[in-house]
Amino acid sequence: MTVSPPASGPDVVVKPRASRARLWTRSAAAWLLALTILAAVFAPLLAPADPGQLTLDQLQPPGADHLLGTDALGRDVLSRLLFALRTDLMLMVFAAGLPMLIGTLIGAVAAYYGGVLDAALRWVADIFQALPVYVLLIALVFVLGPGTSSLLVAFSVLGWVVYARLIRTEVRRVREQEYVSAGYLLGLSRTAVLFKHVLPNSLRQSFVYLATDMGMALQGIAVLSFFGLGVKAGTPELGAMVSEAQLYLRSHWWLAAFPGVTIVILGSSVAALGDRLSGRGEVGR
Amino acid sequence: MSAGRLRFVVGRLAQVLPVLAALLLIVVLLQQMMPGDPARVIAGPRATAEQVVQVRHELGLDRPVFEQFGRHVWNLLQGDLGTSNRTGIPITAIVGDRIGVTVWLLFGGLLVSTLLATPAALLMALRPRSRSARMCSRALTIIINCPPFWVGLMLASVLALGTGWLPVGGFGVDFGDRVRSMILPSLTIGLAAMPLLARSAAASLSQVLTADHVTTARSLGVSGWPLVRRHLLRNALPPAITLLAIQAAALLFGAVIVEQTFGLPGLGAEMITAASQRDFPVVQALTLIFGLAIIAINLLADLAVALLDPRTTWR
Repeated sequence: MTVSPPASGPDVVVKPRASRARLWTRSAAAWLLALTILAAVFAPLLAPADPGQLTLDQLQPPGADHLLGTDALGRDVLSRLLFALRTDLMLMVFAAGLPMLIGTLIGAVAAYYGGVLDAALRWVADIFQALPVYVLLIALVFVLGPGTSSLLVAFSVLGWVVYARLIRTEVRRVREQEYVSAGYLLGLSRTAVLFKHVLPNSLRQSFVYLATDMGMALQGIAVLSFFGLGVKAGTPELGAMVSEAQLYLRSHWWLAAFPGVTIVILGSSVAALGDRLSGRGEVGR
Repeated sequence: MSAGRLRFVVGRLAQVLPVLAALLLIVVLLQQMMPGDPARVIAGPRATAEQVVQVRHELGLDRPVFEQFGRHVWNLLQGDLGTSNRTGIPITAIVGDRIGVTVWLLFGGLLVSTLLATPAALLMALRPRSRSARMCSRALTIIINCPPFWVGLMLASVLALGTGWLPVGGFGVDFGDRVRSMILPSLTIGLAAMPLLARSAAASLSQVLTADHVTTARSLGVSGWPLVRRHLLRNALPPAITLLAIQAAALLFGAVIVEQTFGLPGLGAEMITAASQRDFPVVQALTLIFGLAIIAINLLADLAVALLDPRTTWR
């Protein structure tokens, strides 16, 4: 059965709105991301060899024995790539997720209760905004020493401010809404209203930013590991793999190409989903 | 200068002070955050207990934090950045030696990113619904997610190793060699910094496009390049300067990465080398210098905007 659209003019064609599920399944980025996550989760099952296993088959080109070849220590590149995906995906989620958690809590509480707390937050945020985050990131990771925990601490210390700022603006807008007053009238406490009603309705912008931030975190982790300041030596990690491949660029360019392409795919698919979330994917909309 | 602008300049200058204080405090605190005993780390693994005590005393690490902070600021005001504990060379000399490479690299990167971003921004602002604008936006998403250190390696392997036209790394001795050794690094950081510039420029351009005076100009029959040049670009200039300042921060980080990748003897490469050899004084001093540079660039950009735009006032 067809329902004709309301006659609002000769040129107007009313398109049925795509369902939310449809929106995601039509996105190549969503498929790519799902595939990478699955590959990372099932890495132990999918990997043809032990990623740390040294063999004498060094620097083999991609072929039947080793689909993506072997590296300078004779390790299977495909297996290392799958396990590196695991490392990077985990680190990426936490390196962006922890700052979001911390920043959102601080920002929401400060904005909701206002007063001195809020003024202090604004002051700190203004100062942080003017500081060179990436340079401080290198300095901080250096000071804390290489390893995953210092990476996460450094990202959290430097990253929470943006989330606090984002949530602050949203909470200040949402707390003036009528349903918030309605919550008070129904006898809910301030804390309950904040966490049950204000916060969930303020998070959208933060999630949009999270998508960009995850891409940035991935690059940060990769570059720090590339310089030997990130994950511990020997851990399968994409940036570290590029770094190990550097010496063989002339004869074995693919050793550096594979992990790099993986970073690009992972980062851009997350970013593309973020664009879609914010409605920025279509330029003119 | 009008009262509103004067207030802006004074207010903006006053705003820099707490930021500077915070930067200095962080730089001094970095030392406190080092796990274990900083004096032992600085003295090196082979130092005896007496040497460690001596280092601690020399660096003032046995004094309260406030005193260390004061001392650090005092030394800085006298132009003393400390000495590298790896080579014993004064850090001011290292900086003097290497700052030129970094500055040239930043200009190269700025040139490349501006050249690449301008057509992309114009396309996305003037024909936002076109197929090519959408493709362009997607391409930007992908480019922004390409790690510069990897792009540098790939460019080197294709354009330098593949053809032999350009050096893979290092910094030549004569002028021609030096210019050639800057090409790939500039291309790399320019490419890395370009998506952000293109996106923000497109956003500010399309804001200008919908402004009343542009509609008026259009209704008077101005279109095409004259419209862009006379009515759009000029009004998009103040935001563009602010964008350039934001760019500077991205480019500076790009420079740190790219110098190391291409073996250019700049400040960024020095910072990474110092960090990997645990040369704390150098990392500390360079963190401060990069921080100061970014603060100064942002300040100058804001002041320039205030000069260009007569409507500027403080808040």
